[in-house]
Amino acid sequence: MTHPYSGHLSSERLSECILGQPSPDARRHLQDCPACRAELGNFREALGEFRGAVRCWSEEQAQAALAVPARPSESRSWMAAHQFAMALLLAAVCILGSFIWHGGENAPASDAVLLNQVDAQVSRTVPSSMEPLTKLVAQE
Amino acid sequence: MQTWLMQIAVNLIRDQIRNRRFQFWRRTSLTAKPVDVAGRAIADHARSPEAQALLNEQVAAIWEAASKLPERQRTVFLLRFVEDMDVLDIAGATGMKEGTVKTHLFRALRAVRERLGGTA
Repeated sequence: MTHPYSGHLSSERLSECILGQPSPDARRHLQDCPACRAELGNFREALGEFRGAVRCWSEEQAQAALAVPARPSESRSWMAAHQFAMALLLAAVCILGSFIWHGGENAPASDAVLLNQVDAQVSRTVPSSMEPLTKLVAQE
Repeated sequence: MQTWLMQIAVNLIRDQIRNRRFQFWRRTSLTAKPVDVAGRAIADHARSPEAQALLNEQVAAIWEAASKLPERQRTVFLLRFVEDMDVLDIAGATGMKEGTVKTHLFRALRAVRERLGGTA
């Protein structure tokens, strides 16, 4: 249980105490030995301070990992992509608008041609396929 | 039924947090200088300046010793003494057996105490 030369708790027994699993013998020894009690207390206090310091450091690390590499490059690329998309949208709107505008201007002319063709078809007395026969009859 | 579902949700969240902590400490290489970390120790005005300085030195020494531990020992040590996880939780988060976690903890503690000048 105790160190063979010093008579104090061995490293293993002290570790068990630090981990909160002291054997009954170690617990009894701690009650009677101020040196081991003080050593255990000092180490626990140091570990407590270490916990606070490392937590503080780890929070800073986590925040830095989230903030530093991501912000400048990603926000810039996001802004660039956003601007590019807006530019594409604007270009599409312009092209579509111009197509609709010019299409509207040409519409009356194309409509007139189509109506003339329909008029020509309707006004025929003989279907176009029988026109050669009518020519023969006319010659006779 | 609602309590049961709530318990499942709580366990899932707890597992997630444990795993995140584990991943964080596994990746962490402890690159900061011991003095920088010791400077973050909370100053207690009830202590004398000498006692505070000694404590800062001890924190720096623990940090230095922890940074030199093998990866598994360091992870287990940090999960136990920084995250306050018990042996069973550490075993669950790391996938190690309970006995293996204890072995790593004992070894890590011995190395840290040796670095601090504790009696062997």
